[in-house]
This record gives sequence, C-alpha cells and structure tokens, in this order.
Amino acid sequence: MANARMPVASVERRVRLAAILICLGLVVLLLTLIRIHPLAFMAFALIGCPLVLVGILLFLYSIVSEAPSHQGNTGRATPRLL
Amino acid sequence: MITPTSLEVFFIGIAVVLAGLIGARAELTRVRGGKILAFVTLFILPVLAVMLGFSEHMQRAESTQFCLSCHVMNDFGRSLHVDDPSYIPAKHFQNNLVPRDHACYTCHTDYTMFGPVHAKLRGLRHIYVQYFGKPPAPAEIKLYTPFNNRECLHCHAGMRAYEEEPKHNKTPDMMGRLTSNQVSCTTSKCHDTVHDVGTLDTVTFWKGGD
Repeated sequence: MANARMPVASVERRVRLAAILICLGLVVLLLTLIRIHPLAFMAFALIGCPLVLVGILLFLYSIVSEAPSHQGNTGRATPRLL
Repeated sequence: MITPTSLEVFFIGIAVVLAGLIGARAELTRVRGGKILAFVTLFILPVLAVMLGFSEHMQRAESTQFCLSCHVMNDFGRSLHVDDPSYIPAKHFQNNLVPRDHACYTCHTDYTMFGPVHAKLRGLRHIYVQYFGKPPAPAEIKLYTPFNNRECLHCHAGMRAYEEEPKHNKTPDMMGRLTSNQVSCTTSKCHDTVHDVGTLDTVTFWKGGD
C-alpha cells in the first residue's frame, strides 16, 4: 500500500515544485512590466524566463517519468498525472 | 482604459493564480479535470505568458524612454530639445518627423533584414557596459559604423523637397552618390550637426512639446 502510493507522492511533489517555480517566474515577469528600463528586461531574461522554463521542464519530466512506474504496478490502479 | 499591456498583465495574473492553486493543491492532479488544469496551467499558460512578456519587452526596448533610461544617454536626450534646427535630431524630434516615443530607434536601426536584431544585440552589450563596465563620457560615444544614408533615405527618398533641393543636385551624379552612400548626409558639411552633446552647455533649449 505504502509502496503503491510512493510514485504518486513523488509526482505530486514534482508538480508542486514545478508550479511554485512557474509561479515565481511569472511574478518576476509581472514585476518587470512595472518599469520601462533595461534592468527590467535583464530580470525578465535572466530570472523570470529561466524559472518558468525550469518549472515547465520539471512538469513535463514529472509526466513522462511517472508512466513507467505505473506499468509495473499490477495490483492497484495508481492515479496517473496525464 | 484597457490597453494591450493591461490585458497582458491580467492574463499573466490569471496564470500566476492558477499556478499557485496547483502548487498549493497538487492532489488536484489525481482526477482527470485536475490533470487537464495542470497541463493548461503549467505548460500552455506559462509558454504564452513568456511569449507575451518577450514581445512586450521587445517593444519597450524600442522606446525613447528605454534608450534614455541609462544615465550616459541623458545628454543625447537633451540634444533632442536644442532650440536650433541645424541640430538634425532636434529638428526631426521637435517637428514630429520621427515618432517621439520611438525617436532613437527610428534612426538608429539599420533598415536591413536583420537590422532590428543587430540593434537589440548591441543594446545587450550596452547594458553590460553600463552596469559591469566603464561607460564612456557622452561626448566620446561614437557609432559602431559611420551613419548610413540608407537610414535617412528610408523616409526622404522620393520626397519632393529632398529631390528638388538644389544642393542635392549640385552635380548630375549627386543624387546617385547620395543613394549609394558615397557622399554622406551627415559628414559632408551639409547636415553635420547631429547630437553634438559636447556643445549642449552653450545652446538654448526648446520649452514646448509637452
């Protein structure tokens, strides 16, 4: 029972982390729109974009990494992300 | 008033709220609807938000306010208000011959296929020099390459006032030499007073235009 729940918890943890990274990146993006200044652009390009990009990649990784562990689980229908 | 920027901010705000919701309630992804919501929130919306943000920042990078936000550019901004029509940028700026909110970018982008891209890449180098290097004095700032007549002719070519100007027809081949950039508009003792920021202490400034 506990083993069957592990992958789900792991996936949810990754999804949560991805959501937090994306949320932070989007907040940075919003903040950079307050002022018209070269530093705002740099913050967008060097902080906001990487945070969002890492979040998206982590989310996609959580999707593809969850599928194989599900195939090996025969006794219980483990909820899959997608 | 609803502007494109306010719509972008609203859209990104929605994306932030939804991403925060998934972050706080990751267990939502156990059900089908939650999975769809997670995919939209953590993939589609962020990609769109970044694309919108990038587009917005690219447009902002073309604005006069953006160019003049670096301290070293202050004098170039002041030169647009010189009360002397022999200062070419001032004459264009004050008479709305260039859009005031895109005054710098209108003349300082090469009108070639990759001109705007080159201009923005150079802009990145300017930011680096501004914050991590040693910016030169305003009077020492020079163009990378001599100003190309193409940037003037982008608007002036075909203009009656330009084509019928006696000085532009001093010799039969003068127009051709101007078009081919063999004779420079700005360095051939015709329109050679450009920004001239070294002279700003001795000039008067136009007060209008606000």
